[in-house]
Amino acid sequence: MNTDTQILSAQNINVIRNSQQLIDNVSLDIARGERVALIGPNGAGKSTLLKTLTGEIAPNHGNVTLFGKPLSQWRDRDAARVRAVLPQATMLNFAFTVREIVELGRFPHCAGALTRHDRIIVAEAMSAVEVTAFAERDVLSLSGGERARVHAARVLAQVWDAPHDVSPVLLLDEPTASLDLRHQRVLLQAVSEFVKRRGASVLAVLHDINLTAQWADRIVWLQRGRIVANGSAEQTLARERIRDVYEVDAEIARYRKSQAPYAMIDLVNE
Amino acid sequence: MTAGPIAVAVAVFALAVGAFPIAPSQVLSILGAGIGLVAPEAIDAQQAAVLWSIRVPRVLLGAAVGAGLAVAGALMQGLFRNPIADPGLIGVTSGAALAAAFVIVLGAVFPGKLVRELGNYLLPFAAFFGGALAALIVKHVATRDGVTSVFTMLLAGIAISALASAGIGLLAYIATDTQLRLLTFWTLGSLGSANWSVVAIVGFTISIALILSVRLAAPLNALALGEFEAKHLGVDVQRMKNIVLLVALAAVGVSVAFCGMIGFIGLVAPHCVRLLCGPDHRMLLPASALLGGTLLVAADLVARTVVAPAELPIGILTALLGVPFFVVLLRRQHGQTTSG
Repeated sequence: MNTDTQILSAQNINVIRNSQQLIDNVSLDIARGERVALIGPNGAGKSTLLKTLTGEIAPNHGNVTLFGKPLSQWRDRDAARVRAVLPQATMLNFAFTVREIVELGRFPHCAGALTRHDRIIVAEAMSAVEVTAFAERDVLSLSGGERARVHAARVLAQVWDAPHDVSPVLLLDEPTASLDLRHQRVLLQAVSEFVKRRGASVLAVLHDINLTAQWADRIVWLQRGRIVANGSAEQTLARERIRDVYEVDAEIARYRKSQAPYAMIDLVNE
Repeated sequence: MTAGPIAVAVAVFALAVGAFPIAPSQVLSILGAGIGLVAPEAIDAQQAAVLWSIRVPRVLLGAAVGAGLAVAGALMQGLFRNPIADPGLIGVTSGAALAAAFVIVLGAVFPGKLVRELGNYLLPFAAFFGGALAALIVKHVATRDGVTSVFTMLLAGIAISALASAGIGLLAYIATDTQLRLLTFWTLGSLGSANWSVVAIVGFTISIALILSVRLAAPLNALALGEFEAKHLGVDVQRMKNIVLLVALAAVGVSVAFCGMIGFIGLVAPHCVRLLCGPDHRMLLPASALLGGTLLVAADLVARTVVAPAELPIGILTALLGVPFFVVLLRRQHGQTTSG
């Protein structure tokens, strides 16, 4: 596989469902080693765009390529070895243990029986997002945040050791939504660590604008199915944009440590 | 692992008990003589005849049908991602029942030559094709653009079952008393049809189904996360659905065809295994087969001894055992979903 080509690329995507235009002419490229955050208000089309990029939703117009090859031409097994997807929520009805769920991440690599190598990866992925302590517990007995971390570990385990000439792709839909402060940090750091180690590319739907500004290399702002801004926090995090996109007033300030910009939402009055 | 020895003990006991009792030690001697381990002089010829021509086929049929129904149940539960799915959900059982009712009540419409040629096999063959046809209709209704929706399949299964029971009702309405009695007994299930030819047909079909199911175990684990999640883990979900449906159709179809409707094994066996060994299908499928086979052999033992010399229909027993269990299961699942 050629690493010079675009890793994940969408050209002129339109998604129309029930005569509603959910995605309106979106083009997006994600480069090797890049952490891209997708932000925007509820109903802006973030999950729809993410699902279009995974192939779950077929666009009415436009096309999506993974390593230069259209998604439709990928065999599921081949795609699963280089790209992992974390959905917003996973509905489970059977009482699998945490370890069994994370081991499922190794499914694309081994036909059933895990090797020692697979077990080491499972252990590393579990420890990266701090689920090792309850590895033998039944997933159904965990809290929402603990469960979310288990699935994050599964997704990390899936592409942990993708072939060396390939930079794996992670597509994460609200990975931090149900996590406490500490574990939001743990998860985003684990992802960054993975990006650094493997030159992976990540697209994550996020809600916390300040966490996003600190973590992402690039922020894609989505509003009513359109990309309205696309750039670093430095370039895009502005008072006017927050008012345009989210319809709230905010004040932009800078962290003393890193000088990165952050936004304080004004709750008091107009 | 104590399950294997228990299964063997149940089988030996089932071979020993009956209208013509044979001591368990004799059972072992006769079986030993059959494979040349025991000198033929050491066994009673009459006991050997009873064992080989009546008991052994019956126990083997019970084991095969129990295993087939339990594995089909586990597969359906995996496919529907729900622990209370039943192997009859896709319409096989009700389609088979309609076909069986048709043969019992309107058997005279079949050409005499066909009836003579098929003899006792007319009803099983008709039932199998009725079950297969119903399942294929359900699958067809639920498939659009090459993608089968399990949710639509569930609804289509309910619809086809309702249609089939209307047909059965109509046939029961015009049936004579004798036909009605036959039909009722058929719907309650029985291993009474056991003989070596039946064992060969049922055993062969269910063995193939069990072998195919081994390869479905790991993909079914991935499917537990959801259909798209399984796809993102590299599972060809549509292909897996096709194989699961085919395997369940074969196992349930052949069981219903020769033994009538035997409920709850497909529900209870996989659930017990999940409680004991967890939900991993690599363990669940083979263990359900073992437990389902053992349960049905045990239930049949009770069915043919409790009102001897008559026989209780086995479906009555599996339902008596299964329904309370099913209710407990529902209550537990309800508790889980409301508290989670």
